[in-house]
Amino acid sequence: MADSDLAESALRLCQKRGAEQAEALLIRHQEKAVSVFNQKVQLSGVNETTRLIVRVFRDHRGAVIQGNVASEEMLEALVNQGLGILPHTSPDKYLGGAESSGVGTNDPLEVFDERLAQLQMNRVEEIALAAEQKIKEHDQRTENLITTNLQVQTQAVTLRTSAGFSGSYQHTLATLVANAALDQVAQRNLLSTAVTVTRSLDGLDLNKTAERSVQELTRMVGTRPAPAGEFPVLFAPASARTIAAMLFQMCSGPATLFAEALIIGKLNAAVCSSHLTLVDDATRKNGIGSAPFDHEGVKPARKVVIEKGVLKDYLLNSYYGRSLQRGSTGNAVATGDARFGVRYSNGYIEAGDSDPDDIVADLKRGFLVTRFLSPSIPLSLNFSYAAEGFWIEDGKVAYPVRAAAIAAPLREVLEGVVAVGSDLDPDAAIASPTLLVNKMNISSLM
Amino acid sequence: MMADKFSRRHFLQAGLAAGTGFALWELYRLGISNKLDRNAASLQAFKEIGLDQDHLRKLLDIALAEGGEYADVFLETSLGSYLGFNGEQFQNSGLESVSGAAIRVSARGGTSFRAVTDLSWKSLTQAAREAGAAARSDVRLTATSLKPLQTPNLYPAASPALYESIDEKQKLLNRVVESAHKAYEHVRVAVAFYRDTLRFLTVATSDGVFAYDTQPLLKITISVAAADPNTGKKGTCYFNSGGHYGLEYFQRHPPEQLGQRAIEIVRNQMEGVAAPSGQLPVVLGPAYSGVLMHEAVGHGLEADFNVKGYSAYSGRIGELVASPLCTVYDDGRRENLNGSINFDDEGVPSSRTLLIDRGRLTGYLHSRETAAQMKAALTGNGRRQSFAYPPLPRMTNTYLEKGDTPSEEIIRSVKFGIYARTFAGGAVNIATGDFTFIPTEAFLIEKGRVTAPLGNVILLGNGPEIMNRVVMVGDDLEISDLLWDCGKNGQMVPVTVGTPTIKVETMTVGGNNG
Repeated sequence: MADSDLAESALRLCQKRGAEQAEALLIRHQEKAVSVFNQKVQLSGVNETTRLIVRVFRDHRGAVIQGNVASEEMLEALVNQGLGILPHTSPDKYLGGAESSGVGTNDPLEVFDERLAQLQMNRVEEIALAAEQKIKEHDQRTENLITTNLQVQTQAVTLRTSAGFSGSYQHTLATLVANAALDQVAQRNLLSTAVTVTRSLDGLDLNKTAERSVQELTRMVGTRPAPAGEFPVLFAPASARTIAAMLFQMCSGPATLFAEALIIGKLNAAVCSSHLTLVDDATRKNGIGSAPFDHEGVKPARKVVIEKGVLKDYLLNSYYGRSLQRGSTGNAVATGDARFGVRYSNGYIEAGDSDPDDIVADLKRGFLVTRFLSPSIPLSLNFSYAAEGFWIEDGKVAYPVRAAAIAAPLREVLEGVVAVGSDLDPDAAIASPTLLVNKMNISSLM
Repeated sequence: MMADKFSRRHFLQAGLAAGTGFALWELYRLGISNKLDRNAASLQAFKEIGLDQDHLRKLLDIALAEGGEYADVFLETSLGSYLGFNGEQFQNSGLESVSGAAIRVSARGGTSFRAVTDLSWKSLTQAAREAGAAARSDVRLTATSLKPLQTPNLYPAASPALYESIDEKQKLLNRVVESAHKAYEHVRVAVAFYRDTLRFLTVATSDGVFAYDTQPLLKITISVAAADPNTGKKGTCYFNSGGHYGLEYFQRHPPEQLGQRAIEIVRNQMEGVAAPSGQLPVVLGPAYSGVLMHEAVGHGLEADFNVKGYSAYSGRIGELVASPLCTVYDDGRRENLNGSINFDDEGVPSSRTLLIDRGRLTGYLHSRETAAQMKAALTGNGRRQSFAYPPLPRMTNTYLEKGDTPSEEIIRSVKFGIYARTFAGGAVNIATGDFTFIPTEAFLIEKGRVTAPLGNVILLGNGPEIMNRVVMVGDDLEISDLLWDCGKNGQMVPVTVGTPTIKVETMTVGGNNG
């Protein structure tokens, strides 16, 4: 059965069985993955999966059922299961799908590349092998210590809603991960990871990935511990984007349920440094997070979420939009929760006007963080990370630091951003220019 | 809840065309499982949709038709139910069913892999042919006869929670949330989330293994946010509990404990003073601190990193890599624990693997692939998130063996340091061995006594170095009942950790107070 027919059948069946509102989202996913080590293909795999997510509403109650479906009989079982759950949930006046107005767009936003989708497995293997070769050419010392992984994904997304939305689109995504190692440098192995994510075959720049992989490796030779104490901390774009992601999470609909006890408060209130402007742009052509419609069928938009430190908007889906007396911002993502989740599309902190080299030059002493070594902790009110980077002395990069703990209350970090670099990567799904935080406590691994 | 007009046969036929998920559901609902033990029910379920022992053997032959040294077929159906409660409303409720198969062929040091959600014979034979064609080898092998694998059942739940009534599950959530509110007046938000899954597996391998299993998993999570209007202090906590159990778990572990424990953590955070930073003695409490074994030891001993020579532990078998007080195991055979498995996702029985013996490195954790590459014995650690991913060497339940020092004596030995008790997670750099883990609950130790709770703390160290600085090991080994999800190469698998109280001579402590 064609995807659109299956989604349509699901919708009709939901209505026939008594759902007042319903949505059927079908995601057909194909992934070709190759892993190469020492010029040898270690793993060559193809996985093809289908997921149907059905959301049903009746009497202001909602439920979600997910599964693999390939026949009408299975659909019937799925829908009956979903409606059977409804009486066990609580009514909530905000539950329901997106309103019919303002849904969808026909602009495909250039998220699909036919050449990438049609890539044969032998060609995927060749590219992964070539990527490994490029790293070796950049630095012979990495020979026998390189792994490259290339994943090429194609997704077909189909959505039908009882509000009348009907749409489908395809998108492609290639992810190249290059790990290179240097053996026993100063009694310690070094390992770098360079990742390239792109929507198109042309975006797979092997040279650039190799160069970054080797740069990240060689710059960490000769590490020393950083001094302990309170110092300014500079976050390079690769680490600063975590701060952008954190801000989006705090400004999203689900976080408003915790808002009173967390950081972000009311609209038009100052929530962070006035140097920070946070934007989510789902309309970006070729964007990694772009899509012609979100999982509720709402069209993409560009939103200024924080403007010069002041909260201007939340990231919302239709549930949270209604509960806050605002509309959806087109950021719905299907989850097992009938309210659905919320996610940024192409999110970034706007570029400032300081050259990052000038920010470094103005620092007497400080820590430049290039990579976080620890995960983010959900709901935490603290900003505590282990980080890799460089010690800055008299306005210059003095030496690499392999691991240091940086800690401060989250609010102090967000309010303490005193400079924003001009070095924003416009292509990343989540991005930030260099950020300077006035002070954090540093304690280095000895 | 089910459509009345479907007969069981009708339903199973539908499943054949479309994946087994709801067919299995129906199988259980109709009480067929009552006549079978749980694992046999898994066997029966795939058999009902035409995937019996003979057909799996045929698939293996198709996969190896163009040569190959090894092949396996992995069938999976995972069913799950979940619901959430915020103290007022039951929301976030639903069901999920995922079915699929993966076929793998190894040849010439490489592996080809095909995964599909369509379990029809046509789809599976095509996947087998494609995997075989991609592997291509001069080695001609015929799959040997399949023999059922016999293993003890490590998760003898009375009845899988999936089939219990929603009302029962809602009562549990109510008790969790109510207990949190009762325990602390300044709780602003308390949300509990319940999830159970039942994973039906069948593995058939070209060397004759035919293994089938049903893995129940149960998890309740509580998220709490509190704010004291008098002091302006705020605290948050995310905590969970469960394992490979049915709902009988809550008879021995009342859900109120979960709410009360979350509040204890939140209050300690709110009352916490600024933590010192620098190189300090650190005492790690029992159970949850086992995350040290996971990050500082376990990941570095997963054999895929060692085949490549990346790990800080590569080529060091037989060397002293820890204090002689340290003996570390990965043990997938402990009943009901989050990381326990009757056999791994490659049909290899799980085992208790000695990783470090009184400080000396004794072995790595293997998948079939790495064991062959390193010519090592299988350890039963080839695990995958689901059929859609290839298996990798992964930990199960990793712990430090107990010593003989009473924990009070360990704390008494510290003049000024940190006592860390509960953790939110961690990470490791495999190559350098540098790791970090983040306590959600830590205290100062002053003059041999645990005193003030600490606010913001992060611990940092190098695996082999820290393990060499373990100077005291307690006699109070506990395995954590927190459900840890371990991530690697984009795949999550359930694990847990354990340790007795231990003292690390010095460790890098990061805090807000320089």
